[in-house]
Amino acid sequence: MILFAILGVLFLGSLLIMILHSYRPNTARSWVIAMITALIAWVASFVLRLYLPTQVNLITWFPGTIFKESLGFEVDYLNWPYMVAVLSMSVAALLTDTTRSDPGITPYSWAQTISITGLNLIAILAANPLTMAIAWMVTDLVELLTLVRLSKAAELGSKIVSFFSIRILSTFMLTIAASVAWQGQPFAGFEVMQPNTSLFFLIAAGLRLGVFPLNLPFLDSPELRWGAGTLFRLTPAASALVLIAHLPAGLTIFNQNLVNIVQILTLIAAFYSSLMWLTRKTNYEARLYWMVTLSAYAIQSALNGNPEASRVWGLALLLSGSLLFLFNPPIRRIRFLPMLGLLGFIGLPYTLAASGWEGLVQETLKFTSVIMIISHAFLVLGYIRHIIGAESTVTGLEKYARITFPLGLVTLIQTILVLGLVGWPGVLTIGDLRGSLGSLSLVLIGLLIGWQFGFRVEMDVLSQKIPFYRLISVVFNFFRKALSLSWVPGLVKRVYTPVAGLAGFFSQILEGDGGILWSLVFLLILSILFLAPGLR
Amino acid sequence: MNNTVIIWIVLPALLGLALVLIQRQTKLSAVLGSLIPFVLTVLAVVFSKGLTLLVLGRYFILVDSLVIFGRTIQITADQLGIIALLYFLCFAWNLLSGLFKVGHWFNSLSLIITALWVSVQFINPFLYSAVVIELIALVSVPLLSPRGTPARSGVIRFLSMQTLAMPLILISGWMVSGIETSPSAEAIILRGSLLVIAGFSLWAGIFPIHSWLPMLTEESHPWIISFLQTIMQISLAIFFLKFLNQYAWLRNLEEIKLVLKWIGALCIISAGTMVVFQKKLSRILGYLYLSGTGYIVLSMAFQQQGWLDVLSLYLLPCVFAYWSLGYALSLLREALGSEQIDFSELSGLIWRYPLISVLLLCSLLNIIGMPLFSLFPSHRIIWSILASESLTIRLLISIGLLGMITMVLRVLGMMVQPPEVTDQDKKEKPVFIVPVVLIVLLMVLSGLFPQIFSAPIQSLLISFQNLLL
Repeated sequence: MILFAILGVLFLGSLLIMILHSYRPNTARSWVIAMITALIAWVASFVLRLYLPTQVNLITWFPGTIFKESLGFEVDYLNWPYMVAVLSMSVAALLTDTTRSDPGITPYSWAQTISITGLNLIAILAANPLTMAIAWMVTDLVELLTLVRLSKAAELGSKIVSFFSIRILSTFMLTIAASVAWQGQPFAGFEVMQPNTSLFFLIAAGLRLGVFPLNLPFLDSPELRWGAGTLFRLTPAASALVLIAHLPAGLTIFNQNLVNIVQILTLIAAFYSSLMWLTRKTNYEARLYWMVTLSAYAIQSALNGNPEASRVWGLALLLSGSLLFLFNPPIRRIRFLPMLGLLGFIGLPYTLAASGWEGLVQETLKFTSVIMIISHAFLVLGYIRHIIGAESTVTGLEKYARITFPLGLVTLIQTILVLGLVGWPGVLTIGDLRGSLGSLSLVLIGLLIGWQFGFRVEMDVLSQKIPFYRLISVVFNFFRKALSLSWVPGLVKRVYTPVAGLAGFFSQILEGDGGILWSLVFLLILSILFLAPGLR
Repeated sequence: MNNTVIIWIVLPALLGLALVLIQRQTKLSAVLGSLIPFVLTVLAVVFSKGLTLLVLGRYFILVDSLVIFGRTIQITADQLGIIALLYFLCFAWNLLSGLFKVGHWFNSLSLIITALWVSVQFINPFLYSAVVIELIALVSVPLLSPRGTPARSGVIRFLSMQTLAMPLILISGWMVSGIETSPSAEAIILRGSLLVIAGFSLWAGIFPIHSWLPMLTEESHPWIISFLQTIMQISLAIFFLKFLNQYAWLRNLEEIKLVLKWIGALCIISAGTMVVFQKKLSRILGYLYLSGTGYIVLSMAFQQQGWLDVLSLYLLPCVFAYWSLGYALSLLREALGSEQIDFSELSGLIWRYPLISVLLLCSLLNIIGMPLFSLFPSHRIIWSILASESLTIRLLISIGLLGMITMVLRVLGMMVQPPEVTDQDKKEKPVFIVPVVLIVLLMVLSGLFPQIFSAPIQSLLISFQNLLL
């Protein structure tokens, strides 16, 4: 009941804003409606914690047959924290929007914020892959239409297509994975994900997170930078992270070689992205790498046979990430607030991410674990660097904005703290000290070096002080180009043109004057091939 | 008039001929063209429980067979579900025919064609059905090649293939009697099966004898060709089921399942591969029919528990998918004033015609079986069954599916590209919002609640008793 109330409130609120604003535009009223809506849903989500786990069956497809399947919701300790996180982000985005003067912030963008939150909640709370696939499709279509509406001048065309391509491929992969996993009997939940098919599910999640391939189209529209834009980028990742958290622990049973390949790719993605995160000039530029690094941690946790540990990295991605990205304008006086976001992912004992080390650091310290610890240190250093870099002072703020803006950030901080205390049984843990202390030591060393540089990464200074700088920069530029996939359209075009010519030629043969005869010849060839022993 | 054959075959054919006389009065013709099949659908649903009906204390009892020229046509109550589906299809296409420039013949000939397809299902012995199918192809010519225009290569190719199929089925029909008297004659069984499969392949246009499909869709109005192809695909599927139901030698032949699997897989991969390289939306429609044939054949290949249910669940959403795509393409054709709808004409479409674009996109996503839309539940079952199949077949179908997704992305890519024409203003009539919203809503609702489509057709194929496992 509470679950439906949360979803109902979000969608009704969104509808109400759109209807009222179309007839009698009033920005303040729209904001208040959006705020009340998001707050009610947020508070209700905490009440839901008392009823975990809860399952709601919505529809049963083909009852009484072997094809029986159900659509439904499930709230458990794996997805409830994500639910709270997404709702907190929605509240924080609305509160911090009061300080911004971007042209994209309108009552419609608030309506979008809460409706997108509602749609993503459906995916997060999905009880099985089937429900999740449907929820993904709805979310993607709504986002597609929103993006099209925002890009009035059609200048974002190719980026919109890239965005939708990756999303639709992830949905396709999820559908195929769920079909392959079907064992000839009805299934109700994520138990359908057996070790032999979980790699497909992992790829589906990886595609959605932007890890396989390492790319997420970065939309430069000013309307998408902050507020709703942050939600647009971060919340869809939440459901993919839930999928990863549901993967079976015995993933490595399935084709060890393939798992190793994926593991190496993830490792490269994590290391490279964390380094890019550390070295990008602005957090806006670096946002993509934040997502990829933490998503790679989540995937690595699943590959290491500890999918539940992926939860904390996912929460860090959402909560600490949105805390930093919503810190705009970056007011110098209150930069201690986003700094508290470190609590969400630093991984020290008894903090939210303490249990995450189990997914990254194996029992015997291997090379991969060391890489992960170094990558984590880069991530922390980058976070600190981006906050220290926030130096603007804002004048002429409305009185209410002086309260609402920090309050928005506090909402996220308190969610980190609450989840760190009562998120799920066993959340308060020391974690793996090798990971946390190792990373902390590296961070301290990094801070010392950073202090030497004055926390600025000037290219001239770097080129003078780092040995083999030119070689390193060549290697990194190669990686950057290779992983940005900017070469893909060119390659596709080069392959497409001759293949299209060949296909056209084949069509011409079949549709030309002798087409009927050619068709019969091809039919004969196929029949002979089919009848040949060993080819069936 | 108290005969099922007269009500659902003779009368509609005569009414269709009568409509020819008033074809110049387009509005009246369109109204009657919609009303007649609608009434016939309702009657078929009403009588499907039994051929006796009590109204106001009076019994209406229908006779279930009629002998014409020494041949028997029999329509029992069990079979009225099939008739309801076919006439509903005719109703759905006639309902919106007035919106498009489909020619004066559409209402009358669509009714005649539907009556003929109904007769195909119920003539005994079945070999006469082959002649009726040839007749249907000939009756379709005025629709495909309007008066005053020369017959184009697609139409000629279509007629040739349909004509080639006829003797194969006729010969197989003569062979059948031999097989029935000596069921152990393995050689005759194989030859008979081969002829049946070859005949159906030519009719349905499977790979590689599918060339007439894209040619025909390229040359014809989308509304006309979508009607002709949909009714043909559905009717041929049901007709093939009749074969399987009637002849145990065909049904029990192990090789037939294997052949059907390969035919299905080849249709899906060839459609998926070729569709990626098309430059005209009109041709894409042809390849979508090829892929649809592949799915129908595949669902017939897996004769395990409940397979007939899967097929019946597939048919109505399939009709709806073709109908909505035909509607979207027809709207686009009229809006752009283009006969073949070249890809280059789609640039900036989403800003110029947002409603048509949304409808087109949703229709394409629906027809390729993406989640949320009406064809997804049945497609998903087929994919699930395929999971236990050989890797080659799975791979072929996956590539076909990827090809279809690529095609949708190409269409989307063109829609959101900056338009070549400088005029980017919205040109769409706001009145479109009602049908577009209703169609998309129905697509989504039936994707979430497959019962919307499955409940009315649950007993559609109940007459095929031998196939019920």
